Amino acid sequence: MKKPELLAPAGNLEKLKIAFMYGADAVFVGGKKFSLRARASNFDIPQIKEACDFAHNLNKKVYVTTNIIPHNDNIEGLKDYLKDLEEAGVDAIICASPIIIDTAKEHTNLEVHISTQLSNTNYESVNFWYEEGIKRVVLARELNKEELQELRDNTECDMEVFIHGGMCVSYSGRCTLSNNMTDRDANRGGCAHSCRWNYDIYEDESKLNDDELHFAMSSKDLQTVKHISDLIDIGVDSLKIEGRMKSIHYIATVVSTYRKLIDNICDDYEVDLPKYLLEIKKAENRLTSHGFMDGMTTINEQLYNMRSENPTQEFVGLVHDYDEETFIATIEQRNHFLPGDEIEVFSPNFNHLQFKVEEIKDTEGNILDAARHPKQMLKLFIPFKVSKYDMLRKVK
Amino acid sequence: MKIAVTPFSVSSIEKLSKEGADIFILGNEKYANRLVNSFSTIEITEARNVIKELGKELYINLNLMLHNRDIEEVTKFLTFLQELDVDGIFFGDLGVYMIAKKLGIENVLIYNPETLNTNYYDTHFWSKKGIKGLTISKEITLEDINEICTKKELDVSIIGHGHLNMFHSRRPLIENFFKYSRDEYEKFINNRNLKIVEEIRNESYPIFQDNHGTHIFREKALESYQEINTLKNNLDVFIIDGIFKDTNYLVETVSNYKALLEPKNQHKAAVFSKIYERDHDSGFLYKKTVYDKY
Repeated sequence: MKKPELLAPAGNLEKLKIAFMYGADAVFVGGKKFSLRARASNFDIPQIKEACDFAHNLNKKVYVTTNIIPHNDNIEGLKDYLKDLEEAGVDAIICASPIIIDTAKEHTNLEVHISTQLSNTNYESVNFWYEEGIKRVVLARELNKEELQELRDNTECDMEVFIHGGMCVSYSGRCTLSNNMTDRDANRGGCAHSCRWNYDIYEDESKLNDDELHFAMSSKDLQTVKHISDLIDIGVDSLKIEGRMKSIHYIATVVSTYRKLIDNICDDYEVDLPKYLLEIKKAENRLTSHGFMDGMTTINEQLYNMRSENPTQEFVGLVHDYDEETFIATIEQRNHFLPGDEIEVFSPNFNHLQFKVEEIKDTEGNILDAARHPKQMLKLFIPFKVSKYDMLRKVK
Repeated sequence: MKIAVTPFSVSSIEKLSKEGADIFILGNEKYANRLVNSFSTIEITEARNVIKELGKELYINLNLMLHNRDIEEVTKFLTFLQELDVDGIFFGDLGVYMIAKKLGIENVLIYNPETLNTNYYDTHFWSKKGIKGLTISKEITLEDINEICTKKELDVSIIGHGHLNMFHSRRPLIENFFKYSRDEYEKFINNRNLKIVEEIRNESYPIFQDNHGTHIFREKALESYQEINTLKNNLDVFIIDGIFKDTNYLVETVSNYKALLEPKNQHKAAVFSKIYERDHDSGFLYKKTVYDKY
């Protein structure tokens, strides 16, 4: 059984380090140019170099998205930018436009992956890219497991499959709702997520929905804990988590859950699915479903009435240091908490231990009535050993 | 520049031809999205004969999003089209190109993925693949269209007139919503009288669900009356798509464009635009979409 790569998003260097600490084999980041997800805090070239150095030291990989569909005006500087990425040491670029693909092939030795923006839904189109010398295709999110198996049986190309996160409801790359409704080009980083807005639906002049229930197209987020074993059996090469805009807590929780799950499956340990389902729920901020994994989507894959849930547990702090003599941890505050709160410590090795907050002190030793300032460094008594990059969650 | 239209019936082809249409685009719903009408292979054969008699060209729309299960059927259909000796085949999925190449008919293919042909390099890339042409994306400005055409290495077309779609999901979004909100949903499938209105926008967008998923269109149809004389020097094919309209509409628009191509009639362009302005606009011809801005 081949162990697939676990590929995580990284919106900045901190998220990149967290993704690796919590078990990602590779991360994908956006550069400052030619990348979608404009709002994600994208990396400049020195940061990409730092990211690559950090990753390569751990024997891990960094992919950079250069996945816009450029217009005539957007092509200037492409060759130099791609050379800069090569120089910085990136392991692959993720592309969606022939001009970017061919420029990379002609002027660099960068490995090229085909973005999900090209909605490759069948083995013939994947083989088109394979014959173009492309090593990997990020497949369309519309595929079910049967189709993935057929793909595996009919292509030599590496298959990258989304396993978690937000989903386009349209075929990716084929949608201009945002262009038409807001003048922002979805294929050049401007998607306004118009598919998640509220609509009324009419037949001729008569309204078909109630005032209380809008016509909605919005998709639940993808979550495939129950399907990972099948995806490994199929022989998928890379399992991809979406979400360059998500928090470090989200990344840590999702990455470590899938990491542990993949390792357990591949090492033939017993897999406790309920445990993983419970854990991944702690990162949820939108309801989830398995998308197309089991076939055509039903009402269970859609979000109606803007039903949404808050995370069941709240991320309150990140561990920076721990003194084993005094049992005092230094933590960086991320959300409000109080003395008396029940806290779960969550770490890359998937251990979960709980304690009750006693005194909260600042770094000067002043006792605080509450941890109320984002990013403030605090001192806490924790009765067991914690380590840098462990996270604290409030148990509700 | 040739004018292409999407006839609603075989019987309307002669009339449209007389008005000035050079190319007729037909398709079968099994293999194509957003057709004005689905033609059986018998009807397509019949159309082939009519069009040949008229000395005009037959193009086939084969723009489905290809899934593995369709490959066998699409191969058969392409073999049928090969025997029929059609003049052009629009495709939107690279899988169709791969199948056509195996049959040795990639030279009649025209790549129209609707959103992906956005810059001058695309014509270069696709000319190397030995296809006949490509259709420039819907959201490209007139200035960019002209620039792409000056550097083109194969036939370039645009959909210059008609309702453009802006969204295609594989999901049965209408069926799912009505299953969730009321008991009946069947009558809303393949129903082309549905529209959606966003809560703060006073625009209504045609929407329908078919076997390929759910499609949403712009509120207004595109017209290019005032641009046709610039475009004629650059484009190879100007497409008029009649979706949501009828034969009379196609006859009228074809004859309007044909008239405008005569130098003596050029002053009529603004008049035609005025007549059509209630439910037509210039789309993205003069509107640059914003790059990289949230």
